[in-house]
Amino acid sequence: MRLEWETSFPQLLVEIEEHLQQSRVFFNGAQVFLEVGQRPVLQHDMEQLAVILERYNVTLQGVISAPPSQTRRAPAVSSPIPVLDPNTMLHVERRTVRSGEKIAAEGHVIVIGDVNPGAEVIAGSSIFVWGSLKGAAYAGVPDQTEAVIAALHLAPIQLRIAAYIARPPEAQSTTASAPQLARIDRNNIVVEAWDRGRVFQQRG
Amino acid sequence: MTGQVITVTSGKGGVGKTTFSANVSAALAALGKKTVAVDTDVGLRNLDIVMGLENRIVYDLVDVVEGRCRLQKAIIRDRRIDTLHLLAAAQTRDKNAVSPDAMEKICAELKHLFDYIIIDSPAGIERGFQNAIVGADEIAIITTPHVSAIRDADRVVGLLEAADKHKIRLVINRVQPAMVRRGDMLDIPDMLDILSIEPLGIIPEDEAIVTTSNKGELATQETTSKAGLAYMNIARRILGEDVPFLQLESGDGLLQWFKRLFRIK
Repeated sequence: MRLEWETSFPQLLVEIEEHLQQSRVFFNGAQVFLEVGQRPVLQHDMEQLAVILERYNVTLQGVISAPPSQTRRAPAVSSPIPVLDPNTMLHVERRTVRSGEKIAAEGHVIVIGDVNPGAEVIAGSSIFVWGSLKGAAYAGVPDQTEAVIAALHLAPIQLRIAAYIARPPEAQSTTASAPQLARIDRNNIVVEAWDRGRVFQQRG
Repeated sequence: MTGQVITVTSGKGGVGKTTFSANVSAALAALGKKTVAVDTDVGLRNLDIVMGLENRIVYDLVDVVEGRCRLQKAIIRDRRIDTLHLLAAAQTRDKNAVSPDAMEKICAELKHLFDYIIIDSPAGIERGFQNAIVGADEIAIITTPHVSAIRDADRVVGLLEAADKHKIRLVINRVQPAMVRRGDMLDIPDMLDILSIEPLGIIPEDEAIVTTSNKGELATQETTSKAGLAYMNIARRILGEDVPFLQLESGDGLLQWFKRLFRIK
């Protein structure tokens, strides 16, 4: 379904709910992607959306966004965007993950909230944090090198993807708040702006 | 009477839990509320010393748990503020002398006798901590502007949420405004952002606290003490009053600081 750009988020939620209501059977058990385009999406909005989707037994597989900067920036020329299998299991955590807490799941892990220093998130596939990632994140455990770690604010104590380990540089500024994504590129963990659109790609 | 149990905890030691418990209890009592401070730090008791009531202890918490005396008999009434009371911890035993079940029963009983029950917990997250939080209606987390204290506070908040305790407020102790302004100390909005819990109070570093706690006097009775004033304000917030946060020191950037502070709901 497609909704208008000008509509406010609360109104969108109403429209989404109406749509789900009308096609209740069709959507029951469905897995959906939310493509937000250049619209800024707040955590609060996401939480409300999650509640509605849950009510109709719909799983949010991923969020696809294109920040405003993308339209003005020259296209990136490095390696292709990682393609993740949308059939991978998805674990969604909707809270602040605090020091001493550990979230571990075999598939992708999505955290809607912050991951605080001293907390650990471990995933068989990729990790997406809809908030600040300040703790440790281990993606692609044990050997999935195409896994990525992405956060609205990526400031981890340590990152690991498969067997690769990265620490942030000593003098990293914690004020940079643009969404970032870490992935493996030629045997190194590289961190880049998370503005290249689709992270999940549907096949077929 | 249905009292309110407020547990004071922090994870890390030495951040000011006992000083906070003593002074907030005194402040609540001074505001006319019948208050009891309970020391659950069995084996390392301190609250009686800070409150200046050490020499009046006859029975303690463990005596009550083990049935050697009735609860009322173990409670000491302060002579300076007659609504202020203390239930001391035993010094010669350890944390295992009290079980969470026993503590829950004592809290329930105290709620019939007092308006406010302030429970001072030991450092750490083991048995003593479990004992301290089991009967709590509300939790006050104490931290200082140090990375390690914040980290431990965050851990404790996680444990509290897991234990289904959701009324949690934050107290930032020993703040040095000059250092915060120079950027040498963690700033308050950042701390609130990390812990994402509501603030209950901000207490400035104050030398008077060292003197008063050593003498067993209460800072809230010193009208010149900035920390004493902060404790009074915290007591008023506990009573539901809308008290603005203390203006620590005038200077550049402070207005900004408060603006950011009040964005937190």
